[in-house]
Amino acid sequence: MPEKVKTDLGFADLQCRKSDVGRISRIAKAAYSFNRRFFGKEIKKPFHIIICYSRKEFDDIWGAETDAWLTGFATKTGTIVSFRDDLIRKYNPRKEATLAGTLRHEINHIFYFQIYGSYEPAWLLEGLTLQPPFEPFTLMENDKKRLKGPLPHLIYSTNGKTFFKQAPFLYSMAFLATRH
Amino acid sequence: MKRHGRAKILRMLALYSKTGTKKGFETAFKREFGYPVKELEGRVFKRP
Ligand SMILES: [Zn+2]
Ligand SMILES: [Zn+2]
Repeated sequence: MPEKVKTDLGFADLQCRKSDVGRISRIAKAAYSFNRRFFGKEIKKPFHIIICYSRKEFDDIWGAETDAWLTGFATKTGTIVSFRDDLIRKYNPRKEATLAGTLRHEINHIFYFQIYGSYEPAWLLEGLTLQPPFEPFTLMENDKKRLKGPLPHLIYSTNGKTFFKQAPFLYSMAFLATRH
Repeated sequence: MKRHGRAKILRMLALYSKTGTKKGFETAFKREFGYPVKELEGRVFKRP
Protein backbone atom coordinates (compact mmCIF):
# COMPACT_ATOMS: atom_id res chain seq x y z
CA MET A 1 0.00 0.00 0.00
CA PRO A 2 1.47 3.40 -0.99
CA GLU A 3 2.76 5.35 1.96
CA LYS A 4 1.11 8.55 3.11
CA VAL A 5 2.89 11.87 3.39
CA LYS A 6 2.13 14.84 5.63
CA THR A 7 1.70 18.23 3.96
CA ASP A 8 1.45 21.53 5.83
CA LEU A 9 -1.42 23.63 4.50
CA GLY A 10 -0.95 26.41 7.06
CA PHE A 11 -4.38 26.03 8.68
CA ALA A 12 -4.04 22.22 8.85
CA ASP A 13 -1.78 19.35 7.97
CA LEU A 14 -2.95 16.90 5.38
CA GLN A 15 -2.10 13.20 5.46
CA CYS A 16 -2.67 11.41 2.17
CA ARG A 17 -0.86 9.53 -0.57
CA LYS A 18 1.78 11.50 -2.42
CA SER A 19 -0.10 11.18 -5.70
CA ASP A 20 -3.16 12.88 -4.09
CA VAL A 21 -1.35 15.78 -2.42
CA GLY A 22 -1.80 18.42 -5.13
CA ARG A 23 -5.43 17.74 -5.86
CA ILE A 24 -6.62 17.25 -2.27
CA SER A 25 -4.63 20.29 -1.04
CA ARG A 26 -6.52 22.46 -3.51
CA ILE A 27 -9.87 21.01 -2.41
CA ALA A 28 -9.01 21.49 1.28
CA LYS A 29 -7.84 25.09 0.79
CA ALA A 30 -11.03 25.98 -1.05
CA ALA A 31 -13.11 24.33 1.70
CA TYR A 32 -11.22 26.27 4.38
CA SER A 33 -11.69 29.63 2.61
CA PHE A 34 -15.34 28.86 2.14
CA ASN A 35 -15.77 28.42 5.91
CA ARG A 36 -13.70 31.49 6.72
CA ARG A 37 -16.16 33.51 4.66
CA PHE A 38 -19.12 31.72 6.21
CA PHE A 39 -18.08 32.47 9.80
CA GLY A 40 -16.45 35.79 8.94
CA LYS A 41 -13.30 34.93 10.89
CA GLU A 42 -10.10 32.91 11.00
CA ILE A 43 -9.51 30.11 13.48
CA LYS A 44 -6.23 29.93 15.34
CA LYS A 45 -5.57 26.30 16.11
CA PRO A 46 -4.23 24.19 13.22
CA PHE A 47 -6.13 20.95 12.70
CA HIS A 48 -5.49 17.65 10.94
CA ILE A 49 -6.97 16.09 7.83
CA ILE A 50 -6.48 12.37 7.33
CA ILE A 51 -7.53 10.73 4.07
CA CYS A 52 -8.42 7.04 4.37
CA TYR A 53 -8.03 4.42 1.69
CA SER A 54 -9.82 1.56 3.42
CA ARG A 55 -12.71 1.03 5.84
CA LYS A 56 -10.32 -0.59 8.29
CA GLU A 57 -8.14 2.49 8.46
CA PHE A 58 -11.27 4.64 8.93
CA ASP A 59 -12.67 2.40 11.69
CA ASP A 60 -9.34 2.28 13.51
CA ILE A 61 -9.44 6.06 13.93
CA TRP A 62 -13.16 6.07 14.86
CA GLY A 63 -12.35 3.37 17.43
CA ALA A 64 -15.10 0.93 16.44
CA GLU A 65 -16.86 -0.43 13.39
CA THR A 66 -18.70 2.32 11.53
CA ASP A 67 -21.92 2.00 9.54
CA ALA A 68 -21.27 1.77 5.81
CA TRP A 69 -22.83 5.14 4.89
CA LEU A 70 -20.43 7.18 7.06
CA THR A 71 -17.66 8.60 4.89
CA GLY A 72 -16.28 11.47 6.97
CA PHE A 73 -16.16 12.77 10.53
CA ALA A 74 -14.42 15.33 12.75
CA THR A 75 -13.16 14.58 16.26
CA LYS A 76 -13.22 16.89 19.26
CA THR A 77 -9.44 16.95 19.21
CA GLY A 78 -9.44 18.58 15.79
CA THR A 79 -8.93 15.73 13.35
CA ILE A 80 -10.96 15.38 10.18
CA VAL A 81 -11.11 11.90 8.73
CA SER A 82 -12.45 11.28 5.23
CA PHE A 83 -12.30 8.68 2.52
CA ARG A 84 -10.89 9.64 -0.86
CA ASP A 85 -13.50 10.61 -3.52
CA ASP A 86 -13.71 7.16 -5.10
CA LEU A 87 -14.60 5.52 -1.77
CA ILE A 88 -17.01 8.33 -0.86
CA ARG A 89 -18.87 7.55 -4.09
CA LYS A 90 -18.73 3.86 -3.32
CA TYR A 91 -20.08 4.04 0.24
CA ASN A 92 -22.17 7.20 0.52
CA PRO A 93 -25.78 6.54 -0.45
CA ARG A 94 -26.17 10.19 -1.49
CA LYS A 95 -25.35 10.49 -5.17
CA GLU A 96 -24.21 14.08 -4.72
CA ALA A 97 -21.53 13.27 -2.07
CA THR A 98 -18.00 14.47 -2.92
CA LEU A 99 -14.71 15.03 -1.12
CA ALA A 100 -15.14 18.80 -1.58
CA GLY A 101 -18.58 18.66 0.08
CA THR A 102 -17.26 16.42 2.86
CA LEU A 103 -14.38 18.78 3.64
CA ARG A 104 -16.62 21.87 3.57
CA HIS A 105 -18.89 20.04 6.03
CA GLU A 106 -16.21 18.74 8.41
CA ILE A 107 -14.20 21.99 8.36
CA ASN A 108 -17.41 23.77 9.31
CA HIS A 109 -17.49 21.56 12.43
CA ILE A 110 -13.89 22.51 13.25
CA PHE A 111 -14.71 26.24 12.98
CA TYR A 112 -17.83 25.71 15.09
CA PHE A 113 -15.86 23.92 17.80
CA GLN A 114 -13.03 26.45 17.88
CA ILE A 115 -15.35 29.47 17.89
CA TYR A 116 -18.18 28.22 20.13
CA GLY A 117 -16.30 25.60 22.17
CA SER A 118 -18.73 22.76 21.56
CA TYR A 119 -20.26 20.32 19.07
CA GLU A 120 -23.67 21.05 20.56
CA PRO A 121 -26.49 21.35 19.78
CA ALA A 122 -25.85 18.49 17.39
CA TRP A 123 -28.87 19.35 15.24
CA LEU A 124 -27.66 22.89 14.63
CA LEU A 125 -24.04 21.82 14.13
CA GLU A 126 -25.17 19.43 11.41
CA GLY A 127 -27.93 21.63 10.07
CA LEU A 128 -25.55 24.46 9.26
CA THR A 129 -23.70 22.21 6.85
CA LEU A 130 -26.66 20.60 5.14
CA GLN A 131 -27.56 23.70 3.18
CA PRO A 132 -26.17 24.28 -0.28
CA PRO A 133 -23.46 24.99 -1.17
CA PHE A 134 -21.91 23.09 1.74
CA GLU A 135 -23.08 19.60 1.08
CA PRO A 136 -26.18 19.31 -1.03
CA PHE A 137 -28.75 17.36 0.97
CA THR A 138 -32.20 16.13 0.15
CA LEU A 139 -34.48 13.85 2.14
CA MET A 140 -34.30 10.33 0.77
CA GLU A 141 -37.29 8.00 0.70
CA ASN A 142 -36.29 6.22 3.91
CA ASP A 143 -35.83 9.57 5.70
CA LYS A 144 -39.37 10.51 4.76
CA LYS A 145 -40.66 7.12 5.89
CA ARG A 146 -38.89 7.47 9.24
CA LEU A 147 -40.32 10.92 9.83
CA LYS A 148 -43.83 9.51 9.48
CA GLY A 149 -43.33 7.65 12.76
CA PRO A 150 -43.66 9.18 16.25
CA LEU A 151 -42.59 12.82 16.09
CA PRO A 152 -38.85 12.87 16.76
CA HIS A 153 -37.05 15.60 18.69
CA LEU A 154 -34.15 17.79 17.77
CA ILE A 155 -31.08 16.00 19.09
CA TYR A 156 -28.88 18.08 21.40
CA SER A 157 -25.97 15.69 22.07
CA THR A 158 -24.42 12.71 20.35
CA ASN A 159 -21.55 10.48 21.31
CA GLY A 160 -19.65 7.63 19.70
CA LYS A 161 -21.83 4.99 21.35
CA THR A 162 -25.23 6.34 20.37
CA PHE A 163 -24.30 8.06 17.14
CA PHE A 164 -25.40 5.39 14.68
CA LYS A 165 -28.78 5.07 16.41
CA GLN A 166 -29.33 8.83 16.34
CA ALA A 167 -27.90 9.62 12.93
CA PRO A 168 -30.89 8.63 10.78
CA PHE A 169 -33.02 11.18 12.67
CA LEU A 170 -30.27 13.66 13.39
CA TYR A 171 -29.55 14.62 9.80
CA SER A 172 -33.04 14.71 8.39
CA MET A 173 -34.33 16.72 11.35
CA ALA A 174 -31.34 19.04 11.32
CA PHE A 175 -31.95 19.63 7.64
CA LEU A 176 -35.62 20.44 8.16
CA ALA A 177 -35.07 22.64 11.20
CA THR A 178 -32.37 24.82 9.68
CA ARG A 179 -34.10 25.04 6.31
CA HIS A 180 -37.26 26.26 7.98
CA MET B 1 -34.13 29.55 10.92
CA LYS B 2 -32.88 30.09 7.41
CA ARG B 3 -35.30 32.96 6.98
CA HIS B 4 -33.54 34.77 9.80
CA GLY B 5 -30.21 34.54 8.00
CA ARG B 6 -26.70 33.47 8.83
CA ALA B 7 -25.75 36.60 10.81
CA LYS B 8 -28.53 36.02 13.29
CA ILE B 9 -27.71 32.33 13.70
CA LEU B 10 -24.03 33.12 14.32
CA ARG B 11 -24.97 35.84 16.80
CA MET B 12 -27.17 33.37 18.65
CA LEU B 13 -24.32 30.83 18.74
CA ALA B 14 -21.93 33.44 20.10
CA LEU B 15 -24.41 34.20 22.86
CA TYR B 16 -24.84 30.49 23.58
CA SER B 17 -21.07 29.93 23.77
CA LYS B 18 -20.87 32.21 26.82
CA THR B 19 -22.36 29.34 28.85
CA GLY B 20 -22.12 26.36 26.49
CA THR B 21 -25.02 24.73 28.35
CA LYS B 22 -28.32 23.47 27.00
CA LYS B 23 -30.13 26.03 29.13
CA GLY B 24 -27.86 28.74 27.75
CA PHE B 25 -28.71 27.62 24.24
CA GLU B 26 -32.43 27.80 24.93
CA THR B 27 -32.06 31.31 26.31
CA ALA B 28 -29.93 32.48 23.38
CA PHE B 29 -32.36 30.97 20.89
CA LYS B 30 -35.36 32.63 22.47
CA ARG B 31 -33.56 35.94 22.62
CA GLU B 32 -32.52 35.96 18.94
CA PHE B 33 -35.49 34.27 17.31
CA GLY B 34 -38.23 35.39 19.63
CA TYR B 35 -39.72 31.97 20.36
CA PRO B 36 -38.63 28.89 22.34
CA VAL B 37 -36.56 26.29 20.49
CA LYS B 38 -39.14 23.68 21.49
CA GLU B 39 -41.59 25.45 19.24
CA LEU B 40 -39.28 25.02 16.29
CA GLU B 41 -39.91 21.27 16.39
CA GLY B 42 -43.63 21.78 16.12
CA ARG B 43 -43.24 24.34 13.34
CA VAL B 44 -40.89 22.26 11.26
CA PHE B 45 -42.19 18.77 11.49
CA LYS B 46 -45.32 19.12 9.57
CA ARG B 47 -44.50 15.85 7.88
CA PRO B 48 -42.48 16.24 4.70
ZN1 LIG C 1 -21.37 16.53 10.43
ZN1 LIG D 1 -37.34 30.23 12.18
